[in-house]
Amino acid sequence: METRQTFEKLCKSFTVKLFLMKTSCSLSIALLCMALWLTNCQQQTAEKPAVTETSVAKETPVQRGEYLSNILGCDDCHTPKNMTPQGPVPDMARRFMGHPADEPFEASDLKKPINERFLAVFSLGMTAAAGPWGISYAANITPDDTGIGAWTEAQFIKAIREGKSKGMDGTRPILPPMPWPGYAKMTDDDLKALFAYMKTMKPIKNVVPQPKTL
Amino acid sequence: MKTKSFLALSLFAAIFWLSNCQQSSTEKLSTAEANLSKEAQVKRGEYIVNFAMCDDCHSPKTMTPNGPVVDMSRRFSGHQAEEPFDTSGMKDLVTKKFVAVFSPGLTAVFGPWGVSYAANLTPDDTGLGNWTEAQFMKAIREGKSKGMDGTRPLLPPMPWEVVRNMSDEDLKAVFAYLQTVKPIKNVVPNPKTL
Repeated sequence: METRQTFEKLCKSFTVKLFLMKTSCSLSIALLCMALWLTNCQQQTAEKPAVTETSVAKETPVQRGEYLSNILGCDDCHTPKNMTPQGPVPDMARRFMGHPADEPFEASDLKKPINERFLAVFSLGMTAAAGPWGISYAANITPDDTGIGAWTEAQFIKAIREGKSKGMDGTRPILPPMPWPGYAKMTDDDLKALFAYMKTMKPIKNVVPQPKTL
Repeated sequence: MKTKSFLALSLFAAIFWLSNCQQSSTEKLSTAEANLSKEAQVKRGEYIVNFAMCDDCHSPKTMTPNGPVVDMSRRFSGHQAEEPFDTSGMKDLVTKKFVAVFSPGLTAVFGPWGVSYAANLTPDDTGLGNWTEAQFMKAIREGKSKGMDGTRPLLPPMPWEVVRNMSDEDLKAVFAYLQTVKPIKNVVPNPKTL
């Protein structure tokens, strides 16, 4: 660095001298070009890391949250499905509304195999699951009052990190198959991004049934 | 004349220095980037694998009073070859109600498609040991078993249609991380039809 500064000083003084001396114009041009090139070289090294930084920064928390929700498959359980010849497909018009209040999931005749063989049985649309813990229904995670509309970011983080329903102390634990112990390993930034994205979704009124025993 | 030769000399020196400047800067960056990116890539992959819960299906569980817990000594080795999954008497249930039934360790599933078993993801020859990154990408992006054309599709409940939404960078990181875990020999059973 020091050498460069000294060289630049030299360069500058030479350019000045050259002009004063009115010597060969081409030489001063060459020097100028060189100086330009030098600064260019310096710029390039400085720019490289800066460019990668900005490309990372370009992604907003909401965009990051959308990406995360898409790679995690929140839709698998939290979005009702339409039946198509290709199998169940998430109904995007009802995205994230959880298990529809009016959709039945009859699992009483499954009690014996579930308890004897310790199995988990999913409903057709995958929004309800029966297992040794009983029957659980996927929550409404849209920003409606019946969903996460009134939730704070801190509640969301507590819900995921500690597996507490509604992200509050003294509530029931979040039940299987919600894989919160996995999501608990996400960074604060990623959890906040997910919450920010969920808050941008269309609010849908849907009071999800309470969990039941088998 | 003296000034001229001095200037020519300094020009020469400057050009020399310039090429040096360019070289060292690119060299430094590329080695540092390569080291950092490999290490950072594996770390990024580990982060994703941990929160995406590959363990749910791909790691055998040990039964504890608190329910099934991932057996870290057999992590990512898939459904164990010798582990039975009793689906007797469940065919009606699965076909009429169109439900999916998971084994206690969640490594095997009985659904309308038949019985599927979670694959061995460790870098053993019985797992992803001789897979290329391109195979892994194809397996996830196109849902093709072994990431090769002409193979069977990946079966439910593997959520490849969700995992395929990952960026190339993230998928490559996941593969890079999986190649660093302990290799475990385990030939996972082939899927069964109903």
